[in-house]
Amino acid sequence: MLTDILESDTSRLKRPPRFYGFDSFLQLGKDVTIHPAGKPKKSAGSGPQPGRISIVSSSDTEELVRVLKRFDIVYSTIYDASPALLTRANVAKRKVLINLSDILGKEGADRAQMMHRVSRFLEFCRSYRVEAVFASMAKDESGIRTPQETADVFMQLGVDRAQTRYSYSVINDISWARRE
Amino acid sequence: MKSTLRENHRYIGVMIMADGHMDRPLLQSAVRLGLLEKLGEIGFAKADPKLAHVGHDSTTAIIRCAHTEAESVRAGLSLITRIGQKKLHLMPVFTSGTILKCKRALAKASKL
Repeated sequence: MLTDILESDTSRLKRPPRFYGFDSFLQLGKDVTIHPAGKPKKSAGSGPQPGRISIVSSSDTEELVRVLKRFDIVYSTIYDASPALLTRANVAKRKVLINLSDILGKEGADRAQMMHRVSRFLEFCRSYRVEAVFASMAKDESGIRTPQETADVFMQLGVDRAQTRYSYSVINDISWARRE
Repeated sequence: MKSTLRENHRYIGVMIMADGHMDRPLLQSAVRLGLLEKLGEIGFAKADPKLAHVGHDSTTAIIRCAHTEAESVRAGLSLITRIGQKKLHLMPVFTSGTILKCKRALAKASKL
């Protein structure tokens, strides 16, 4: 089962997930929540909520290392290939998020630099046996990329088709585990 | 000409998803400029991408390229996000060695 996470309202999409090569879409804020790391614990929604997939995001790797155990998925917004982060994620059996809109939202040299960071990060993930979750986090329909398209791009960065498909199926496993 | 010297092509069928109507010249410039930016001049020269066919309602198109570079062209197409101020997504649906098979696959995909 291939699943993507979208930032837009999934009920307003003109086409079904099957058109884009997915079995289902999850909506950010409804099925999945992103918690910025380092926020005070008392603030509303700072911790994981039952029934929802929780992602912790930060550009501060040390902060991520400290809190990752409480969340399902870790999102390093700068894709810091840190051995400390990935060792901890491996021990705690947590996944890391690869956000495609980080690549598609940039242009020119910035995009090339981001693609390099992501490919280096994925190289480290393979080495430290940490599973990656791909998500487009699209704000509208033009931002959604099919698994085949993502595979085409990541093939150039050293990830094969089977790995890309697997990375899209991981989120579904987490979703089922959460519901149970 | 020896058969081994003949150029082999791949035809990539794409679904066009844009903000407004995309006519042929605009689509042609989107493909050319987009792929030139993504593949670089050397990659573009190797791939030699050309807009081979545009569907009558401008929702589908077929791009012809060198058979060795089909993968990089598909990756480049996936990275195109806009042309000018218009949002644009060229979704590769099918890759084939003949334009006819590509047209059939596109017709099937657009019914979804």
